[in-house]
Amino acid sequence: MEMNMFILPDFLQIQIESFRRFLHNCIFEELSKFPIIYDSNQGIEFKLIPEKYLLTEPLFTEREAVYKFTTYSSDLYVPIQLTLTKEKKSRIQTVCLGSLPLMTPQGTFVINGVSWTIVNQILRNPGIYYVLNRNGMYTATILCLDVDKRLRLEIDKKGRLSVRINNRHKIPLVFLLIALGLDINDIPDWLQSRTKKLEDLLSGLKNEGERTLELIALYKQLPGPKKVKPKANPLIISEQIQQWCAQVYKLGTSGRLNLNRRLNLNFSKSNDSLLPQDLIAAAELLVKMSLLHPGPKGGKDSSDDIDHLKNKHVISVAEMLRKQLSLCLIDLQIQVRRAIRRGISSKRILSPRSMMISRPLTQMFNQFFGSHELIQFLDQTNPLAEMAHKRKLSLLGPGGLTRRTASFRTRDIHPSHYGRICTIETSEGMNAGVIPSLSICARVDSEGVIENPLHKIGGNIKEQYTVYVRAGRDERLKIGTNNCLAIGQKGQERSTSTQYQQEFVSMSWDQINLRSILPIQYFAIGASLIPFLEHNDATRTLMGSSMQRQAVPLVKPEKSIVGTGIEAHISLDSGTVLISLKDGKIKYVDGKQIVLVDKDNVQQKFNLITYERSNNGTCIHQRPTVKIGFSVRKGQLLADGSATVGGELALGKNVLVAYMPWEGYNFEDAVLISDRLVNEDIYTSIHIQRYEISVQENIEGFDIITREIPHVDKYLLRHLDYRGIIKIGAWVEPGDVLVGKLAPLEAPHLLRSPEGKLLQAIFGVQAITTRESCLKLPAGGTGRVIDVRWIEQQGPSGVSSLHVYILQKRKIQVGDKVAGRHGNKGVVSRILPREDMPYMQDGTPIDMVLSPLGVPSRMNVGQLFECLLGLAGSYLNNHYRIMPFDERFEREASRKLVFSELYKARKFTGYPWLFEPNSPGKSSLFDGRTGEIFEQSITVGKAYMMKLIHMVDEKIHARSSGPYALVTQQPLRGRSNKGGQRVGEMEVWAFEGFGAAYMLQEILTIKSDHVKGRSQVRGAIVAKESIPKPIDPPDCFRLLIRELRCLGIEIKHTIISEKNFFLDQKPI
Amino acid sequence: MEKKTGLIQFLSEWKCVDDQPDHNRRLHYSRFALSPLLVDQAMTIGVAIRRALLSEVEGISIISANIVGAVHEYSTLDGVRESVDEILLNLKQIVIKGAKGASITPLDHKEYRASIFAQGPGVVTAEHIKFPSSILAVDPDQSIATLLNETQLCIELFIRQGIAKQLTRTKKNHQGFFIDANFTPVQKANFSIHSVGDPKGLQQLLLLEIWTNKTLTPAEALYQAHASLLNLFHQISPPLLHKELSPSKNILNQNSDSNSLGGSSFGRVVSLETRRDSTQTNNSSIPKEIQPSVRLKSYTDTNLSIDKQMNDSVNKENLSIDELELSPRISNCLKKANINTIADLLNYTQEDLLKIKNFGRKSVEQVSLVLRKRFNMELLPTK
Repeated sequence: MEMNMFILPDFLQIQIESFRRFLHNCIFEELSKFPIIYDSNQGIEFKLIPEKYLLTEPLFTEREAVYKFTTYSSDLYVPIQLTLTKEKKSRIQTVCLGSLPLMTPQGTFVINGVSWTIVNQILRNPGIYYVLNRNGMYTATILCLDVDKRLRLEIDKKGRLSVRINNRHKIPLVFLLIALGLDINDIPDWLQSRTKKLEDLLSGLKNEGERTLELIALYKQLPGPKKVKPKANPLIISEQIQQWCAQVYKLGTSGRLNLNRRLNLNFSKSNDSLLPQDLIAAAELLVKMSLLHPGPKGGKDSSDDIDHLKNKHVISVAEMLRKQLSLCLIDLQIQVRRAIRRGISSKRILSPRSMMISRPLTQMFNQFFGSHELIQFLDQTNPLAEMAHKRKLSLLGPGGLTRRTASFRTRDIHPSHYGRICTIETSEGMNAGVIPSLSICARVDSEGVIENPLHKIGGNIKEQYTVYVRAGRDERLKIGTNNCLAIGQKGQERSTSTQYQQEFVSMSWDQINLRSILPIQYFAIGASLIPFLEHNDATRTLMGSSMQRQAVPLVKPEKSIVGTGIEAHISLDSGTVLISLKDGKIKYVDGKQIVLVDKDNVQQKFNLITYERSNNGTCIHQRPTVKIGFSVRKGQLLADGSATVGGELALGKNVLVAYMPWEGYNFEDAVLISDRLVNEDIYTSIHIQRYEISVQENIEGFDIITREIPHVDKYLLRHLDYRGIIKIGAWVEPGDVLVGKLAPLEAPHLLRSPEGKLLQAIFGVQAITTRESCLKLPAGGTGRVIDVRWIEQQGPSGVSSLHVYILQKRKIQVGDKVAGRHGNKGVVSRILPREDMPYMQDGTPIDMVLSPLGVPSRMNVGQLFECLLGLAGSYLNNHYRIMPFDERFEREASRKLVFSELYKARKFTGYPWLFEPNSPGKSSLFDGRTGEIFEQSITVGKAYMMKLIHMVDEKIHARSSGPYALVTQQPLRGRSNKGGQRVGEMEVWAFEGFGAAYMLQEILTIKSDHVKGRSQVRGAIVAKESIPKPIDPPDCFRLLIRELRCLGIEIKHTIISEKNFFLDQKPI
Repeated sequence: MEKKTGLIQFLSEWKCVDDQPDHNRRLHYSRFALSPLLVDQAMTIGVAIRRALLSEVEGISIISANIVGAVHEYSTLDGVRESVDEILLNLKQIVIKGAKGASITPLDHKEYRASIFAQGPGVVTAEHIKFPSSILAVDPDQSIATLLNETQLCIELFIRQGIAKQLTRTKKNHQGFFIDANFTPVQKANFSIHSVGDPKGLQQLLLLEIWTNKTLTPAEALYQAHASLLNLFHQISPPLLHKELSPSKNILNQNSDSNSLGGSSFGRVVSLETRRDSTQTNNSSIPKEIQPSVRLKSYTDTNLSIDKQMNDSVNKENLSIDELELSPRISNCLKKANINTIADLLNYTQEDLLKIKNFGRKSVEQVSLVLRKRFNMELLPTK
């Protein structure tokens, strides 16, 4: 576990390594566990030959799978030996167990044409944990392999021991031990004496009948569904309990090790289930601990830290798939046993292939990939998002926490997280802390423990090397944190802050054995892309890292002037760029493919992705970076993906920003931009939308796709070809028909229709009428049709569907969200012509005006350093890659660097205003409208700003009338179904407060659920009459009445005449 | 090029101080000086010229292209390195200028056609575009596409003149693929004001820096900016003061700021600062002031926010009589007589008003006084 030089690990390692392990080890291991099935009656032996399992090569590549909307998978074949022992004949046949989805080189799975990723789960290790509970008493929780099943040993104030099963049933410990088969004499006396109502229990146990009953009760309390019913025999039931416990309370190897270590036992690893001896030892320790430290105040807390990473492990792809495989093989066992039995009865000759009717694997994995909580739709907004998603960890999921129950402590960062789990990058809101990310240098070993690389310091340089340290192991080590490098500080004390036993202490360099490798080692990839990160508040850095994942790839991407230097690593590992697989020479390059010839004259073709849709609707497009005749080395960049330039991540654009108020247009984080950003396609992005229609067969017949659609405006059909499908390259607008489809009309419906009746009366034939069910472009879908695909679904359903891909080019507009990398986000409030923008002293108009009030309270000062250094870089034609925490070199290093670069720029360009000693980093701006100097000097710089995926085009919405909910008759909710805006309780108060009674009535009746009223209103508007007032109650009142009627309360509206007491009843 | 600014006794003149035509392949830099100017005139001219340079100078650009073999913008051509969209983006960047001798007059919205026929291998650059004789590419090395082997590339180009403000965003009515062109030949403009001459500081020097993309020389751009400004001012110049508009003379004096740039005889009464201040106050106080619609109409083009005022004056008659700020007694009387708006009031004669209950001669006088004062209207004494 040592290396001489440290190289940043492959960021996809966590996914790909794990899957490799699954393919190479786990499949074999699981298949070897398959027992030899022997039927003695017939003398049939069924045996897998696991050494010779085969995986077929996938039928098509992962890109073809995406294109064809199928699953990227390979079939698993296992040879099976069937021996007829009587006849001494044996037969080997290779049988397909089903198809297994494969991981693509990008670390994703393609299921039905869609990329999915498996998020790694963090679970607690099996073992025993002593924890102080709220009452100040110690409890010992025993976690098992199956995380749902847990036992808790408790001790009460009188020192009596009991066991809680599944957080619910509490029984005396002695009773459980007896039930597990221990004789009462084997149980030590101290344990017996610590039992509540021992006499009763013992006397009860002596009575056989009572004992049986108790045992049955206990058996029922044990977790899990039991197939075997408890027998009313004390011996058998006791055995059943033992069996069940051994099955349920499985500790696994690591759990056994943990128990051995904690309780000073030494059972062998093979004893992987819970033993009564464990319980006794655990109880002993528990008693000792509670005697030593009664109550929380007593001395040092010797309880275990459940949030410590050493007590947790990562469940990665391999473990998840392995579990499915083992479940599937259990199914197979049952299937084979049944088949053998059936085979015997039917007297047929058995062959291994005939015994397997279904393909268990296919079904199981389909179900797994369709329903598992941690298999997530891959976030493909940009390469960073993709990568970050694959490196996410989750505390949620089966056996894990739930969002609501997760406590603050588990969400919080822990000293053991340093260098392993990112301390800042997590999602905001509900999932805060429960979905963290893996730090950049960390790796997960085969046991699921997260390791952190550290640099070993020795006196001799040759003795220095990198070690990977597991969580928990580093606590006894003294780890220098690189906070302060003792450069040029000879006379002074060479001390630095050091990580030691979960604390940061100051220590001199001589005492330190290890040091961290990178200052950004503690952060995940998103956060480590932020320059001058150390000057930012953690919350804003968190936002910055999560917003980078939302940046839209732009038409003309641009590298950041100021970066941290890991941009290239991220884009190279993300798999969105094309990389040469071997040395060679470029023979051919065009927009579609690159041909490489290696030294053996073997051609290798690389197909480029052109304008494909990503999961998030952004565009994936590769641009070649090599030219014909170039010699390339293995691993060299051949083509850039979307949002990369020269192999470096390029999520945004360097734009000239100024921090100043401008006529209130940057109030509340709004952002004012110049029309240059619109006209010169600076923030133009490409979005591809997919529209689907399926062609089905029902009782009446097939759907027809045709060009001849009756009663539809010819203009809307103008782009259809002779088949009735839109032509590729057509410019379509909302309402246009994309696919002309006629669905057959139901027969009974036909008969009732007047024309049907007429036709039948005259000709005696039934009219075959069809209903128009075209695919029309919804509002906001204007764009260019770039592809139409027929997708034939496999299987008996015979449903095929048509997919139409429409590309939109979106320029930046008012309402779009833009953000920098420091959590400085805003919405475009206005687009000014460039002559109106404030301009610098050389006449350059500002591109973007940000609010100065967005800095102080948010404490993200890094944006100022970035923008000033960017300004210097733009004049000096320099790009800077600055590792954060440059303050470790000297005090105020960032400031010094920025100012010196600005000074250089000033000297280089001869513009004195670039660096004014009186107001460094600020200069005077002129108002473009008046030519006047603004009163104060203003911070101007080049900041790297991104356009985020939250764009108005996808959010803007208005409704005049539209669909209504069936039950309440109120307008539907949400933009997707053209819904209305709810006027809620508080909004009603506002109307009441202003006394706008008529408006309120209008809103609550005719604009909402007054069915009659709203149709009258339409008539009135058309006829230009005055709007009628609703008389009867709206529908929600009727709903109320009906619901009351369901409860048996009748409400009637009755008027009693004053004169003759005549009752005038009205139905409601 | 010369500019006569109104009332200045001495002639000021643009002088080209610095000219760097080869600053860059696509950048032409020049510096002009204008002097001598009176104090604050430099600002007036500088701001106006800079804004005109940036927004009103005409450019010439490729507006659409027809690429043979391409189904749509987002396809790739065999043997061409760039995708069609990338070619279009490259074409958008191509800078075009008028050929020497050929006159491209401003506002001449002729459509030109050009074409590219190229065969690989090689890089297609602006040099390969076959332009009509009157225009040519500024930088022949601007690359368009890279062709491989014997690939042929045929592109038909449609070129037009235009200014930044009239960006044609409609994708219809275009042959081929639409390129939303930028008609902004002036890249950057800057001005600075320097005091010159005697220590009393009465004279100013205006330095104007212009960077163009070589579609025009900075001098031509300056000329165009001038022309468009002059044209603008010419269009909006207020009509000469005729007798029938005599009441407006009064108003003109009050608000002389709004047309001081127009170079009328009231021109240089107000200094630049007060002008700005007064526009602001003017805007806020406008509803209360009467502006005859005839005069206002001529102002609507000046981009001052006068549309609103005009609407106000049109609606003036619909104003409530409360706006007259009469004494409560009088306004109550009027309201009782169902006179709610000024229009209602104007239907009445003085004699009619006297017939209203509790409405005496004094009240009538008050009403007519207010009407005259605030709205310049009279009540007829009798029918």
